[in-house]
Amino acid sequence: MTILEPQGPGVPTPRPSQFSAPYWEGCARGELRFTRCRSCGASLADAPRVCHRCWSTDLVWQVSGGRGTVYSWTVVWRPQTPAFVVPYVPAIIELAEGFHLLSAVIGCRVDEVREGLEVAAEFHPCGDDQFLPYFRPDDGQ
Amino acid sequence: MIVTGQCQVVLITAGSAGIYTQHSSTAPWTRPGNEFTAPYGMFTAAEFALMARRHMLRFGTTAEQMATVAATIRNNGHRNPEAVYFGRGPYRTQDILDSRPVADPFHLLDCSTTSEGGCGLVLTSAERAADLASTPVFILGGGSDAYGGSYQHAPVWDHRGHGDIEAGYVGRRAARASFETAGLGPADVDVCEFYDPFSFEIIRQFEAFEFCPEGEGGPFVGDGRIELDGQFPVTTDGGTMSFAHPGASTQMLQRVIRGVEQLRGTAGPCQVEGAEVALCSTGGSGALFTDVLLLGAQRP
Repeated sequence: MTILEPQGPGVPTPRPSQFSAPYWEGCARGELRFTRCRSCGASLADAPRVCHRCWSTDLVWQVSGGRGTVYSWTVVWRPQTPAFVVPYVPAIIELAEGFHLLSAVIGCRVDEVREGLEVAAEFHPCGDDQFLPYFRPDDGQ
Repeated sequence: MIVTGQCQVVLITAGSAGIYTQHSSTAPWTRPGNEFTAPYGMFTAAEFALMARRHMLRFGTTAEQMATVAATIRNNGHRNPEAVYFGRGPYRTQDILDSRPVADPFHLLDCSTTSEGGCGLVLTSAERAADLASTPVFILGGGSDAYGGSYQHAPVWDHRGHGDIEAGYVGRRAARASFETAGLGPADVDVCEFYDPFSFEIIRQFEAFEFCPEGEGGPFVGDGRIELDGQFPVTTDGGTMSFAHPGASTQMLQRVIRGVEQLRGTAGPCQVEGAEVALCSTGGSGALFTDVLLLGAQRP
């Protein structure tokens, strides 16, 4: 069975907003950034303007170590568009810092993806000067 | 607005046309434009699959249990002359499992179809309705529940937001509010017009609306319980899987329309005998919202 790989050209590329630009700038530098609420301490994905837990707007950017575990996943056989190579595995990754990130698992077979699989972030080019985080099984190195 | 006297009659309509025939991609309205989800090839089935997976991991829910739901709803559409897929069955559970995989655990026949369509609903006061030619159906309660924007964030079952209910059980607050207003409970419901974007969602709603304990939705949909002659018949027109799945909110309003038909006794071959109370729902876990409307044949 094939080893899952990052998608190639032609897939939708992120269009950063003024709020998410720091996240995508981090990806281009090989940093997985997330938002920390300075009021309640929650770690948050997707560049929110308000803390999901306590509604504080006192949020700061921090850099994640990029390590986490697979929380949920699906094996897609019918792609969003023909630009996607199947199968691919969208997944929710639970990062060590506590936040959940939607991404995709690569570097293993579809039948090797399981709950709790330890994974680490890596960044692959996606469109003009943009990089997308994917997660690969982590051998602890 | 009717209660406060701002208006006497409200017409609610929805419709969509322009059938979708491009088979190389998923339907346009199922594809997100969001920067955090679109680049990973997400679409509606994949979003809902991520929620279904968590339920399988935690409670051992199976693809067979989900397929039982899909076969039941598709067989309702098979019997319903009004359904787009009328006469296209009957379906066995195994037929669902044998259809091609879309986004694991969902097969093609676990998913809704796409179609054109439209529907409408007239609301007025009970006093005004008393003079009308048609048989009125009464709103007993209702509620809305949401956990953030749809298809913009990872659908994380365990997220709780500000409350103590998991996002996977979105809709529970809406159901509790509806039952409290009506002075009824799940055992009083005769027809479950649950929204059916994917088979798993029926299992989830029985738990979210507290028809059964958490984790027991899988076995709950077995043994004929959700068939037309069972204790809790579901989605009796065939739903989005078989009756119709137009966009522009038509697909969601359809659940209310069917609830009205059941309580009026005009549901044809899929009529549930003696139906007095119907629970209609919309939304779903992958979309992070679920709305509930409780209808009754008798004036409360």
